[in-house]
Amino acid sequence: MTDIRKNIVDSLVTLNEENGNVYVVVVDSKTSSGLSHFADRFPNNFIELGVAEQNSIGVGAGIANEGGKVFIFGISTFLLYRAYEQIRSVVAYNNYSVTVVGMYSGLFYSDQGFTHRQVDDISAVAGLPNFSVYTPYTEERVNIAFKDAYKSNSPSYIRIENVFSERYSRTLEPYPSISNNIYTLYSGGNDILFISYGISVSRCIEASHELSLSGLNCSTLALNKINQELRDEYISIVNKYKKVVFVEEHLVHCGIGAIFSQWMATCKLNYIECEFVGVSEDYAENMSYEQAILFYGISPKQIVDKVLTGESYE
Amino acid sequence: MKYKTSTHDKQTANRIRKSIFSACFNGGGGHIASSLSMVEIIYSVFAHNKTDLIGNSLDFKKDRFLLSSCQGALALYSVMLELGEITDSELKNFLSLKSNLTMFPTKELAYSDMTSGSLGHALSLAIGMSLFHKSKGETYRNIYVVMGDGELNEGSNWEAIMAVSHFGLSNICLVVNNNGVQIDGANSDVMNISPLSEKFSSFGWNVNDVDGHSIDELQKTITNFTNKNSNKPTVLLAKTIKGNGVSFTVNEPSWHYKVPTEIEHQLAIKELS
Repeated sequence: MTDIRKNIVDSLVTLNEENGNVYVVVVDSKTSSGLSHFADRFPNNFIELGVAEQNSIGVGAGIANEGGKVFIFGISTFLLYRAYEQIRSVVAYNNYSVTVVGMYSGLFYSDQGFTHRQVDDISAVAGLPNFSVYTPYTEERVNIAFKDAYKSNSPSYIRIENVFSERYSRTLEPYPSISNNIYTLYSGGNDILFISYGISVSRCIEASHELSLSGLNCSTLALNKINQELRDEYISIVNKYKKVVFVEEHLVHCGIGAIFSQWMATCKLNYIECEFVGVSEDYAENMSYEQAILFYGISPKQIVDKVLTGESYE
Repeated sequence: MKYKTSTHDKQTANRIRKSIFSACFNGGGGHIASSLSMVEIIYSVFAHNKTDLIGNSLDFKKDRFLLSSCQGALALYSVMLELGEITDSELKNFLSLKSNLTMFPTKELAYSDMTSGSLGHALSLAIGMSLFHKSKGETYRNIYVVMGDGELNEGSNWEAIMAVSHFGLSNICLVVNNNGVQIDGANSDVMNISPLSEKFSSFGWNVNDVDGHSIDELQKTITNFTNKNSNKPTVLLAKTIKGNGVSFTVNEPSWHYKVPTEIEHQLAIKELS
């Protein structure tokens, strides 16, 4: 079974072996985050704080204050919201090199219900001062996100979605792509640009193949990093298309579609048609991950149908 | 309360209190009452051993100081003036545009290792600082945290109090400014936090009940901490009076945040002279 946590722990072990100074902080989340290998290998750099999210962010900030590079792991909703003030007023404001790793983001925990399901983290973090948001979509991009966050002297949030999804390990070619540490542009044509992140990127690629059979040539802009400073770079890509479809495992009213829409409006790109595929405000009862993807219309087939018919699955 | 403060200590404390009043008057803002109750605590932390002054340099020989109770900013700045770390003109510019002496201290200051402003954060930061150096084998660095008693309502503090003990961080010294009052009234009425001594003991701390207005007693207890006479983390429950030193500010809730009038300023200076 695919498990992206293996890539994560291997990245951290390599970073500490090659550069040192990596500190991993957990909140009774060593097992769920798959970090035992790091804990065994570097016990002095591994800090278990028990179920105490607020304390974890403060402790991470204290380590960063002294020069450590800190990665704090937990189930995303608990870590982000229980400790939001610490993240905002201690880490972000003081620009500490602390990376909050939001595990099991998106719809993964739909079976556990509202408390666990993380569909508004981009909204919560993207506006914080100094923060970069990483939304990796392949194994390689996961490694890049952790390396970038390590190199940065500023705080980061890394959004990890369904850790067991084989979509993280898919090859997303054959489209020609332009790639850097920030994004990949899979260029299949100028009719539609999908903008996505996380494992929804591979859903967009699948949808693009399907749509090409209907004569629509689609490209996908896969986002590995989001922050305000990247606006102009992203807008210069969007500007070449007439229709943009945002796809995300996030609330559509405050996710990447909303952020890009504001950027596009600011830059007066009013002529570009937008569609939004993601989580609506209709609360889904507890259901499996796969059921939740279908409930919100995020499967590749539903994306195709939405593009072709404009039909909403909300 | 029967003070054990010597004449020399009393004069020192009075000078600091005058600076607090004047800085608040000149700056047009500040938390006078909390600062007045913390004067001897902050002075004693910094001056318990004059050869071991605290700064925020990454030089591992230096200690750390975190003002968790951010309303003590004026006390911290005024103690720094007393110790020659800042100048008269710097304190006179408190709250002015571009001044580095802001309402609450920031980590950019040489004598502050955190940016204060919100309660319940410093002890967690102290744990991180301590664990970082422990991981490097540097266990001798002392970390001081000054916290308000009302601040102990914050649940985050109890997560941290538990963790300090769990990790055996005996290089952390927490001083609680135990003045018994918070914004909405007496601690016992707003949210009873007593008995603090028993609470800290049960969490595995070395507890010291001290007179928070006695420089002599505070300095001796802090020196005892620096001599590593306990393998547990140390807490000083420093009994103080909110607004101490000036008759009309003592336990008067309106002085939590209030700028003195010119007459009040003059009266306070006269009382402290």
